[in-house]
Amino acid sequence: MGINIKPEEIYYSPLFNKLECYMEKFPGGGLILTTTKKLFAWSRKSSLWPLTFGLACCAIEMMAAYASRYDLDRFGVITRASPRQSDVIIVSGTVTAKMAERIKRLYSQMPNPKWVIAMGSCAISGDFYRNVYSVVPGVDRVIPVDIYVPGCPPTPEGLIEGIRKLQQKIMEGVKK
Amino acid sequence: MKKEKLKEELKLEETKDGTLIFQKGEFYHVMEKVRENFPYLSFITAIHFPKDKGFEVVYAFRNIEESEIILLKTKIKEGEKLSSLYKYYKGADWMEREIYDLFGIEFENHPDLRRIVLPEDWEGHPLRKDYPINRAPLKYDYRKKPLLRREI
Repeated sequence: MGINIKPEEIYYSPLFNKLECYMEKFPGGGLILTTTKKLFAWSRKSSLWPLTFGLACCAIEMMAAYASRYDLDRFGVITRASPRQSDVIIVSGTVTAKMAERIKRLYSQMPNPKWVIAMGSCAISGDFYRNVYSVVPGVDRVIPVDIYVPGCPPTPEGLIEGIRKLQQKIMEGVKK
Repeated sequence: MKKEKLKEELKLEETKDGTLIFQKGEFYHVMEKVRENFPYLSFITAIHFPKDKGFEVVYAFRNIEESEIILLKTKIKEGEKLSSLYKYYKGADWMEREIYDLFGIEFENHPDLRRIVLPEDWEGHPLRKDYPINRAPLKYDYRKKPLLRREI
């Protein structure tokens, strides 16, 4: 309303510091003055919903990570049974030529923004099935991958680390 | 022993390891008798012999009450058709589709003969000995595709 003040000036003003003491803080700023981008990124990383999707033995470790001992619910990771409701697809296992078409379709059915975790050596590079006639050597030939979790199979701790890294990547992706 | 009974009744040959051999022509005659004595079809598989240009198709049956297993096999040439077992065992449906998919043996009177494991438009039959092992057919060759990268 006619007042020309840059956001930074408010942020560093003594008035703001006083206000800040009484406000609940969102990461990256006060309640009012955080950027929407940062707010959205924070909410996205806090509720990463993966697609219920498993391919091979890595899926067993993935299920163990969802279950009570490791409990991925702590990070807001709750599986959804529909690609329309999910944000992240965890490719856990060997990708065959026939499955590649299905993965591509599932990925394109997911709404933006969406992320991909390649779990295990087979999803990363094909591992020792690399030269088998029906195997795709790495899922990144089909869909773009954000996080690679190595291992054969990776432990649930490894997968949790991968998810934490993805959360970090989502927050870092926002320009400061 | 039901196996001995079958062998005498149908006058079949027996190999050293106890597998009964029957001719392709008398398929239904043999299988009708087998169905009466062995109600459970365990599996069907095949072996490729590229030098002879032929296949051996192996059938395994079980009688659960008597806990008895029987193996039957027959020889066919490449390009020849074999009769379908679907008439006597409904479970033969997918097993024969698998044989058709991986070996390329066609079955007559099968209700729905198409590929089961590989994509519909796949070329070649991978479990044949002369199938190139290190190379996928060009349409599915993902090795030459560039890696997909994305920045947030």
